[in-house]
Amino acid sequence: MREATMSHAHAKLSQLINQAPREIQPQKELWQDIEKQLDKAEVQQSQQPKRIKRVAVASIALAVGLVASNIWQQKADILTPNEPSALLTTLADIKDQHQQQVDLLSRQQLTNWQASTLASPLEKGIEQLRKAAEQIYQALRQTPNDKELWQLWLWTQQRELELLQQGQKLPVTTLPQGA
Amino acid sequence: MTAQRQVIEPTPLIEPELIDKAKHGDKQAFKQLYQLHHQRVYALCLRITGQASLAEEATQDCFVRLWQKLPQFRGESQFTTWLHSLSVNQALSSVKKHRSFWSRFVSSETDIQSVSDEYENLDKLLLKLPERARIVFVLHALEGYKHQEVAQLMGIAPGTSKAQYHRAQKLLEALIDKDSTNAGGHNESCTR
Repeated sequence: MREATMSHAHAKLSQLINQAPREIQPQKELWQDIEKQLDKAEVQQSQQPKRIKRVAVASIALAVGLVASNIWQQKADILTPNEPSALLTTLADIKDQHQQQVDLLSRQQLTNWQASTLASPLEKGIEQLRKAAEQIYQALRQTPNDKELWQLWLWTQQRELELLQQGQKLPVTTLPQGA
Repeated sequence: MTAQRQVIEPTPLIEPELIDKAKHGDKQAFKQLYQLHHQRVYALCLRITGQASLAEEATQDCFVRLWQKLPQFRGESQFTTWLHSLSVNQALSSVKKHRSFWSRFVSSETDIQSVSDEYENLDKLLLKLPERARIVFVLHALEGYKHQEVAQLMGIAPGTSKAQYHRAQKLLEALIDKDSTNAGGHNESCTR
């Protein structure tokens, strides 16, 4: 009896499944709420391109800024060598002039002051000064816009000339003929 | 027992045109698509969610989602199949969103109270089932999904799907049996 009932229930369930309606009408109209949500979705979608536009504009502005900065930097790099090239020429000219002065002083020297006992420290000082001047000169070639370095270099040159002139005044042995 | 998978039947004469128009933002065309399919979607949502209010919400969400995703529809599958899949996923999401801990094991108290004594309608019996058993039964027996597919959709093992299906089947048969007994005047069965 129990089995027969369960078998009936099983058959009834199969029947109910087969007869189950494919469609069910909702108890209330849903379209109006859906339509409202579609509008919201549209607003969100329309806002999204605006956001994208803003981001795009910001990105473009940033990119333009970076490119402009880069171009400016490149231009500066291009211009800087031109200006330094003039400065470097000046630098070389000054160095030549200084060397000519040194040569002139050497030719004019009446005494062999290097032979003096006092000459050694002076000569040593000049030598150190020349080394320093050379280092400053090389540094100036790298950074020709450095004013302080310019001043220092010019001072070393001036000082070298002064030391050479002081050396000329030392009372030492006369130079041999043809010196 | 397992039914052939019931997809939302196409209406080939106008549907492609409506889809195309709706894809381009034509709300009137989309409304017609809604009118063609909303009852089928609602039936699916009601059976999965087990509550009319949830089913209404899920149906609305389905169509909003459809509106958003429609431009992605390339026509590689039938629109009805695509909509069916979208509806199942949306209904399951809705269930997850509103799920309570106990609803997994017992049916909702309000659902039982709201169901009339008439059992002829399978949908009224389905509302008496616990959530998981009901969803598995709906997907397998009514929508024609295989247990492997049901398991994938619900994130459970195929064995669990089979077990839940048999549980649902037995519960439904018991409900039918109980009601048959009551109808036959054997009131003593209520106390068993």
